Order: sequence, then structure tokens, then C-alpha cells
Amino acid sequence: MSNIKINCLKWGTLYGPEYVNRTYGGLKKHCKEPFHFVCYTDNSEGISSKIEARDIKELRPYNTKMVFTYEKLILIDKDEYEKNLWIDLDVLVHKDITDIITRPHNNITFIWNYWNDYERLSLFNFGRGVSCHTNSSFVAWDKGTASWLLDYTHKNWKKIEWTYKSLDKYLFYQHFRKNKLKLWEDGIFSNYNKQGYQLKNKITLFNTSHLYNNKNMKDVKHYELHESSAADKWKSYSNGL
Amino acid sequence: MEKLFEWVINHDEISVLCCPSFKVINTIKKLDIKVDNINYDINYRDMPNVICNDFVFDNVRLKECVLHYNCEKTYPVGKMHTGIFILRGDDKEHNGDCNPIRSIDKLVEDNNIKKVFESFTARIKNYNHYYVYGTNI
Repeated sequence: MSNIKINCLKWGTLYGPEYVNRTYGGLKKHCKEPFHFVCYTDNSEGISSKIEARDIKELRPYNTKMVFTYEKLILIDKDEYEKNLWIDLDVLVHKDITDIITRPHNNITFIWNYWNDYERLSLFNFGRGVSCHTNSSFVAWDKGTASWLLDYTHKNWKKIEWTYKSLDKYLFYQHFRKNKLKLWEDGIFSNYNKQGYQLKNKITLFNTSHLYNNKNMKDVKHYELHESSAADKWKSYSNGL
Repeated sequence: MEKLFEWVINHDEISVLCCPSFKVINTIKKLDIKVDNINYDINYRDMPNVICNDFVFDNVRLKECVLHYNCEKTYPVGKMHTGIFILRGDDKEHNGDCNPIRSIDKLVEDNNIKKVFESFTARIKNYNHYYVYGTNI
């Protein structure tokens, strides 16, 4: 039996089951160690039988329109394996990441948006409540090492729900501020839409959530995975599933 | 704004929350009032006269009288603290505002204010600022 569990979440209609299957396929191709892959969803139709599909309701103890994707945090302490990860569906793994997955994670580890200017975009605007320099698209932790974050979240939920529109913002304002988060080193991740529409490093994000309500970004063309120049590579990841 | 200082002067000491204006802070200090200037903005971390903490999430001791200068940006202080409040909030609906203030009643309700001493609204630069002086004791 594997000692690695990788989770993803899919709800609504923004992404189809092919996003789940290809995320799994990409991980299979670029991770040499066996792992168990779980998708929490509201619709398991079309998801490969090699993937364990579970009800997204298991991750929804709170009914909220705030703290977008808070469900990810509920994965902590839930049937944990020795090594645990979650990955967003708009992420493309394109180089070997065995080391990234199997190395020790003595604290829960998040992405730092190296492609953005921290001082100008995030630090300068901190007081206005608009900053966010952490990203939860690819997260890893070893068994038991992230309990502190789940405990804090449950204990402070009422205030968190009132204050933060997204999980990433909550993490940045509360836990990055107090130096509680571990961050992946530079050179692992890239952002397709912010770094010249190329696949750099080992894992590329196609995240467009920063466009929400951002008037300055309206004229900048952004691509989802299926419409990007990496679409063929991405499609090949579902071969054999 | 002058009204704000008329309210503040009734107190010997005060906690001021989320106020980026040093002009306001210094004016209160000149009135011989002891001020704890509490701000969650990490840009103030190394400033000696600022307590750089998030009063909502960190362990922060507040004076009996609290002036909250940007109520639209935080969880309501009146839900966490019992005392006298001078509250200002606006309906600008800036992207970073989690709690836009659209009326005096909203400030009163959010902060469990039981007795309003005074309140007023001012329209500045196409949006409304709401001010309440009251207590939840």
C-alpha cells in the first residue's frame, strides 16, 4: 500500500471530469512513487475508476459564500497517509516531482507567488486588505503536521468567515503574517498567464482567480489549461485511463 | 472630523484601531490623551509608536474607549469588546472591504451598541462615511 495520498476537489461545471483524470495522469507520469488519488466532488460522472471519488459534502462543515475553497483545509487530519497533498485542477505537472512529494514536510507547505512583486503588490497594499501572495494550488504536509492550522481555523471560524473572501487571503493575512507557513522554494512553480505563456520550472499554474474584480487585468489575455499552448501535453495525460 | 475629536476628548485614554492617518493620531495625542495605536498593517512593524497587531485575531488588550477608524475592513470590534466606541465606516466598497458600512444602523447593530450618544453621516468624494459614538455596556 502506498504511503502517499493526493487529493483534488471538483464541484460545479467550470472544470469537467477530464481535468480530474488528466491531473491524475500528469502526477502518474511525473511521480515515480505509487500514490492514492482521491477526488472530492459533487458529480463523479466521467472520473476514471482508478481515482477514488468521494462526496464533497464531507469537506463542508460550514455553509459559507466567503473563504473560497476553505474545503481544502478540511482535508487536514482526515484519513491522513504518511504524506498528504492536494492539487488544484488548473495545475499542470510537466517534470519529475518525486522529490517534491517524498521529501519531509514537517509543516504544511504552500506556494509563494514568486512571479509577482511582493513589495509593490502585496506588502504596500497590506493595510488596504487587498493583498495575497500565498497560493494553495499545490500543498503538502506529513501526517499530523498540519493539525495546528485546522484547529486554529475551527476555533476562529466565525471571524475568518466574516473577514476573508478566499482561503489564500486568510492564509496570507493570518498565517504568513505570523510566519507560520512553510513555503516551497523558488524554481518549482511557475504561472503560465503571468510568465510569458510558457511552461517553466516543474509545475505550472493556470490560476486566474487574481482576475476577480481586478480592473487592471481586464485587458490581459489569460488562458485556461484546455485553451493554452500546453493543451496537447495535458490531453496526453489521460491516455490509458 | 472635528466631531470625532469632540467625542475623543471625553476620554483620558483610548485604543485607536486601523487608522493609517498619523495626523489623526497626533491630534489626539496633542489633546493629552493616551493613545494605543493598533494596526494590523505589517508595514508598521518596526514603528515604535504603533502596536502592530490584528486586534481581531491576536491577543490585544483594548482600552475601555475604542476608536475604530475603518470598520468596513474588519470583524466588528463591538462583538469582541465591551466598552465605549467611536466608530467610523464607509460604503466605498473597496475590494479589500469585508464589511461595507451602508448606514448608522449597520454600525450600531454589528457592534451591539445599546446606547447611541451621537451619530452623523458625511458625504465625501462620492461615498458616505458613517460615525457613531455609543456604548455596548
